[in-house]
Amino acid sequence: MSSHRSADVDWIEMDGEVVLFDGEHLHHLDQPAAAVWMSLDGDHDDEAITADLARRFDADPSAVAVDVADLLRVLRLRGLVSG
Amino acid sequence: MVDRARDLPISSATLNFIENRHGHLLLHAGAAAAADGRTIVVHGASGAGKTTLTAALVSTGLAYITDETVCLDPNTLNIEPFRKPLTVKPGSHQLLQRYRPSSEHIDPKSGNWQIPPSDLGGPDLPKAVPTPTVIVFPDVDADQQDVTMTPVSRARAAFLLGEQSSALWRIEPRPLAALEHLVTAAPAFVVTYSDAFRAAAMIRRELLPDV
Repeated sequence: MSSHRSADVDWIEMDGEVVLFDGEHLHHLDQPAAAVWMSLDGDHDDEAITADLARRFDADPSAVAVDVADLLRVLRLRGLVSG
Repeated sequence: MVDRARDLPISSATLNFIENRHGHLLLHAGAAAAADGRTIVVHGASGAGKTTLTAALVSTGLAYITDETVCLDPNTLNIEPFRKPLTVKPGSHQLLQRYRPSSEHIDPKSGNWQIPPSDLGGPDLPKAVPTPTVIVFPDVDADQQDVTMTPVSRARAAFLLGEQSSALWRIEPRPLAALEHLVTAAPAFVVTYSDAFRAAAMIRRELLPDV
């Protein structure tokens, strides 16, 4: 499955973290979450994002997969991500 | 991993001020400025300790700017002072006893004090335009013996500032650009303390030297 950032969400990256503005609310993503966000270009499926993140953070891929799935679920619930 | 802003608490006391300043960055914050315009912004939700710490900063010789709304030009970051009377809730009365106003300035229902800015004893507004130099997020902890200052990342600071601001969406062209401008110009710290006057002295010494 390939997720991508909602077009009507403005965002800005600062020092590896991300702040999102959906026109009403702000959201803050810490560095791992921001890394996921910046990968959500529609060209990478969730498995590829997970593998890349596990490599970059030298983490257990199965644990990263759970975290990525949780994050994407929250972002979808808030309308920040589609797909 | 991900934080979402809470609903904005907009104080009725500042509505008239805010209504005429849409397009500005309107932070829910107090502020005090040095004579050269360098300004400490004290940001937080209602009850976080903004007014008490702002009053304490004024006691160190800084000029009172506001205790509730910092109005910033999003391009220049110039601050328009909003010198309303300080609203002191009962929980801060003991610490600010020295400023206890006369009875006509005490709300019989809430018990809140309204302290005229002139009663703080600080200097007049600086001739230089106030601009943010440091952002402080007060963290009052009764068990804290010392004063500690913890840096806050720019993104986290932008989020915290923005979530308590008013009419953020009216800032053109991009509210996030205005917040980035601010947190890049003024580093942010969480200051943890039990005594606001000790905290103010340390903030003044460590974060606003040479004043």
